[in-house]
Amino acid sequence: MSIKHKMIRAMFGLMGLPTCEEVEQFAYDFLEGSLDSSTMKAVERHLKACKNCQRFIAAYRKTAALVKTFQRPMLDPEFKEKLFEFLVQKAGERV
Amino acid sequence: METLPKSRDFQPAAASNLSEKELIQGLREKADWAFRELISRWSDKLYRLSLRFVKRPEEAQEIVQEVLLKVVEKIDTFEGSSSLYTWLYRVTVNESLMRLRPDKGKKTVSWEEVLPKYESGIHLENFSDWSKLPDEKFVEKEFQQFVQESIELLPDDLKTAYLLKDVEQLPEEEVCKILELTKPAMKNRVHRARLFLRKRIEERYVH
Repeated sequence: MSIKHKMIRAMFGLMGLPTCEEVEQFAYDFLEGSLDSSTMKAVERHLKACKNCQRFIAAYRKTAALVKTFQRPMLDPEFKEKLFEFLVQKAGERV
Repeated sequence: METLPKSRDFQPAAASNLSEKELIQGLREKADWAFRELISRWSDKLYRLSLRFVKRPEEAQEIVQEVLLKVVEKIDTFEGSSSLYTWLYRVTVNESLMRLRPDKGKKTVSWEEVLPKYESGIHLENFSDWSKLPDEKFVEKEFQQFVQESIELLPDDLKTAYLLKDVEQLPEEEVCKILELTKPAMKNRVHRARLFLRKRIEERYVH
């Protein structure tokens, strides 16, 4: 372990905060708001102290959100009508 | 659904407000309104999902047709141990994955390699916050196509969980039921898919 990493880890340890790896492991629940309040606060405090995790979480959050804006194709109404006729016909064959 | 007549022509005034149980009953009675409601309620959703897997609109249409036909054929034996909702999505996922299987030459990536690396719990790399890219970037066709292609590179188990949770935005509980996963397993798959996509976008648009 490099001196730099030792120092950072020691700092988080002294502050009672999760490591960067733990923050990543909490990321899903952090976004969902499903962490217990003490863990949530600890992650938030880590983020205040760690610019790199701030950047990570911001992009991770965007990854989860951006696909919501994607195009949502729909079926052609003409196909739906044919599908209806097809299902009625198939159901009739089963009588 | 005792209150609904069995006539195939009868169409409830507010079919879209019917419960799933009432819809199933209508389908068992082969009522036209029930087929229309089945299509109205589910076909677009199932089409979107299958299209994410198979890409070709014609093939996605075929999947929707096959899935809804299965409903019609098996509705008498549908026991309701899971909801119709769960069953429809599960059959659509399975049908879509089955159609992908012949594509043995599909390009894949060693996605583990792009996951964050740590030394004693501390990041070994500096991340970029590409969420601050101009908003216009995220709606560009080229960007959306890159993300779509990246999703395709995911292994099937991660892709399926990600599509249901993040793209189709289904509730966690439903995703778990559809994929028959525990909640931690489902979360893990979605998380790894997000990690992979976050990194892919960073590499493409920042570095």
